[in-house]
Amino acid sequence: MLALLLIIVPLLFALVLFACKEGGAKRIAVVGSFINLVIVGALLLNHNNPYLSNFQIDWISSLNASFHLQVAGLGMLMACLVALAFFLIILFSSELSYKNEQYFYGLLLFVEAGLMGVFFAHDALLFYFFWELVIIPIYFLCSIWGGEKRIQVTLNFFIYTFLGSLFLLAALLYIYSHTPDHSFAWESFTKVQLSVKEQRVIFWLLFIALAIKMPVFPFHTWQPNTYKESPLPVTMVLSGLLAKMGLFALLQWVLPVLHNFATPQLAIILCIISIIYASVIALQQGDLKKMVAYSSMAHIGLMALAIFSMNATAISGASLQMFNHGINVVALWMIIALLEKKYQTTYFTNLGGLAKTEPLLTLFFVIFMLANIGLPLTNSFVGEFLMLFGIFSFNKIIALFAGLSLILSATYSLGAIQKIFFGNLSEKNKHPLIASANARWVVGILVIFTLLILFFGIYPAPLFKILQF
Amino acid sequence: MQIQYYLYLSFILFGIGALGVMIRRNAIIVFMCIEMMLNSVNLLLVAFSKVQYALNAQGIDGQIFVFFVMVVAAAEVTVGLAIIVMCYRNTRSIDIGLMNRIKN
Amino acid sequence: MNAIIIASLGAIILMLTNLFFRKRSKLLSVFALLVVILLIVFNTLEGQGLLFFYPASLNSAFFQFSNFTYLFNNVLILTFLIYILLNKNYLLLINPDHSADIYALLFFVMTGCFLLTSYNNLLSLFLGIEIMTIPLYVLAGMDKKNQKSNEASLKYFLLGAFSTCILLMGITLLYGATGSFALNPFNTLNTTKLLGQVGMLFIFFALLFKVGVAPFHFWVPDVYDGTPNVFTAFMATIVKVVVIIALLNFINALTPNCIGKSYKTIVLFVIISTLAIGNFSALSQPNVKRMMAYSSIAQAGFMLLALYALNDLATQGILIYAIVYSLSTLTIFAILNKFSLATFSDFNGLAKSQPLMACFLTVALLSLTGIPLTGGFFAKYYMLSATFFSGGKYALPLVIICLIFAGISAVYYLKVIQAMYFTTPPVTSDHASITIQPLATLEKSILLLVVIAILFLGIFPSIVTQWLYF
Repeated sequence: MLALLLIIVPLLFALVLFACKEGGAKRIAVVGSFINLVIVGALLLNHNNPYLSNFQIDWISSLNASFHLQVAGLGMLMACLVALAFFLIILFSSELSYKNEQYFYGLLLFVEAGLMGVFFAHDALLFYFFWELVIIPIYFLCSIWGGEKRIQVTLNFFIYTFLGSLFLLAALLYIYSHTPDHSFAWESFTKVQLSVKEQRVIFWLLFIALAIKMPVFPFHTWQPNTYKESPLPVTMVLSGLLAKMGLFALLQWVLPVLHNFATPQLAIILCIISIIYASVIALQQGDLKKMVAYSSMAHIGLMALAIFSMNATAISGASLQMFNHGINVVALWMIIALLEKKYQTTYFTNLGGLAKTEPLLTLFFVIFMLANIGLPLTNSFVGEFLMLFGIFSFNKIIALFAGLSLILSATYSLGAIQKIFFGNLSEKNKHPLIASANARWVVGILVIFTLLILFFGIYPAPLFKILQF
Repeated sequence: MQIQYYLYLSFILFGIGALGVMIRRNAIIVFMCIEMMLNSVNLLLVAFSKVQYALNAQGIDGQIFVFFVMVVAAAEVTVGLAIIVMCYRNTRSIDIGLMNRIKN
Repeated sequence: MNAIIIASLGAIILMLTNLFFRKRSKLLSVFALLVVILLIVFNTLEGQGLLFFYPASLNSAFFQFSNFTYLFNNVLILTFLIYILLNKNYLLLINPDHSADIYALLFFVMTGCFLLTSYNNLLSLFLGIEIMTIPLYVLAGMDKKNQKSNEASLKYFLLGAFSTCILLMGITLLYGATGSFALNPFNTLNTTKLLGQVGMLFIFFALLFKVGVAPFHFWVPDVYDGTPNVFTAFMATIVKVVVIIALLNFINALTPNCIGKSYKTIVLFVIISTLAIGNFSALSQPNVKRMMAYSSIAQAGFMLLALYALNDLATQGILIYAIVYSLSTLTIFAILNKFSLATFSDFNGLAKSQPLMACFLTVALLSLTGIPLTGGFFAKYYMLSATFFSGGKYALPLVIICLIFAGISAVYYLKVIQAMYFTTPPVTSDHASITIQPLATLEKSILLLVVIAILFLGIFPSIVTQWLYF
């Protein structure tokens, strides 16, 4: 029941926002996302109560598809991330002003509803429904409020992801037609028996579908441009949450379907290429936005690699990291948003020496970057350690590449800190256009992120507990 | 006479008609070719009907079909000629090779 | 049966009363709507077992009525009702002196359509096809002074008559092989003789020609483009869908033995080439109407999947596909009526000037693309699912190819959406000539209902399919 509320509440608020005038939109959106956060909290406390955590009604009975939402470990963790991130993102977005705000926030809440559906769906058709519903509002958000080249870039993004999800549909339909009772229920999907050859076909179909979403190496070309051209709150959603959809689907809908299946070598090699390639490109980027985009791709590649290693330790590490990476990357994009708003640029050559004028921002940026690298005492450390440990016991050479990515990550992250906050302060940036200090509540949001990073870095047990639900 | 001969004759007529539709450029001629194809079908229908009668003494439906074809062909002639006349009034030509106005 | 009789009676009355209706166009629309409502009522009653005109058994040598027939007839009638309501002002504008004749012709086409949904005999198939297409030749050329319309009419007529000849030849050969025109799986029609096989192939190709799928698609773009908008909407929806149903009836009446092994290969080839030609050509069209012509070819390719699958799911699927495709296409054409030329740039900034119109158009386009929450998703879903269930080693590759083309189709549908929402119209004086008429109140409310129906079918498609099994 509560899971259903998590979908309905943002939808209702989105509809209200579409109907209302521009003025109060911000407040309504914040209230909506806050209510969702509260519901997630309630769900966390009541996850054992099947009446509250489970919801099932008949949907299309002739196809054996039901509207079935179920709260389960990883989905719950992701829902926590979604609710938390959306609340903070919407709160933060007030700092950046957009025209026709009511539609902007309405579409954002629409995305939230779709994401909740993806993470709770216990029925393959329902899952696919929400999976594709997420892209539509994103398409409009990016195309209307994005940067200069937004229309072409967004079309590219849309076609890419649409094609990807069609592959997903093909695979789901194929599995559906082989389920013993012709049902879309998750349980029937896990019971399906496919030959090794069929499994391989299905695996590749799903791999393409999910690799586009994550993205993994040959399918990543939409990602850097889309991240750069999207309005920043949408970029936060894209990199922090949408990219996790692919990993989540891998864990929830791919692995349980395949039995006695060893990941094809090529998939693992593609993940490794993805990690190394993205890290190297990130190292050479002159634009902070693109650097974070590529760094995000490298991290996602590492998580995918961990999942493909099919090692229990690595998978639990990846699950943990999905949550933590979401937090870190959203925090990083917030800093970028503040920088861009104040200095109208995110290129390293135009920035530099900001530590003198922006000590607070520097502090936060350093913390977030260190968390991004995965230093001990930050939240990513536990996840990355588990992933590496798992991959190491799977294959030592692959673990070497995975470890290399951490070193590269440290290099470009520290490089970025140095280029932006140290060195010479340019004349222009001494007197930025918007002279005001950051509002108190923006600092508040960043403090919340810092606390989350440190708390889960020191005490990750609650996350593990949620994963056990 | 054997059925084969009717078959060959109507196939030849049908083939000539089809070829005419494809290569001729005058709308009236094309239309005549179509009529020829229809008539070759009629011929074949009557022939088959006769064969059926010889086989099991029931082949009347084939000949009835011929009447339907003739009626429909008459309807097509009226509509077709009206369309060709309308085209001629507007363009003073019935050459279908010249017709590529839609694309431009 | 009721539907066939009432539609033809309505057509004859309308034809005879042109003089009477000439000055009273309002009365004309009311009369036409009355006939349509009679059609719905009587067809539904007949479906419940209440006959009015036909004392003998319904399933005779010429017709066979099943649940599916009644349901599909109702779908056709409802689509026709929506069509008239959306286009009635434009139907009167095309040729004001002959507006009653136009309605008469439309009702004749509907008579042919009802024949085609219920035929059980090759004679009724032939008559249905002819009753349906001959009025269409006239309608295509209704705009007498317009050379494009003339040309479309002539092209449509010559090629249509040619395909009729092929159909007739097929029927004759089949008759020669079996000695019967009856179409019934328990009949002697199931032949494996060469003569009969060639006959079937001829009929199959002739019907593909009438649907307008590759490799017999070449007339579609020119005819659709040249025909006045209102009649293109009619041809692209009701007529197209009905011929596909006729084709499905024909194939369903044959046993697998006489269809032969090569059947699936032929259908496979037809589907893939149709999708390829339709989608790739639609990508580079200068105006929306021509794009819609190619898109209708591509959509027909998806509907042909029912011919590949040939199972219950495909029957349900074609029903949903027909409804959703017709509704979406009618919506788009109702909005195209408001434009003079409808190039892509004419749509620039439509979301600002006509937000409601843009919203309707967006839903219709997304539905044609096949995005979830619109009926188009389930239409495609049923087709693909049916293909999987039909089995065979080509099922998976075929589905993947279809899906890739569905992805490509998103490019040209989104082009319109992009123009409407993300591009601002240039503020120059020479663009002042593009005037977009606003939607009338009636059109607005009808379109709203249509869009709601599309969205509703996107969530509960079973609302339609459950009627099949009553």
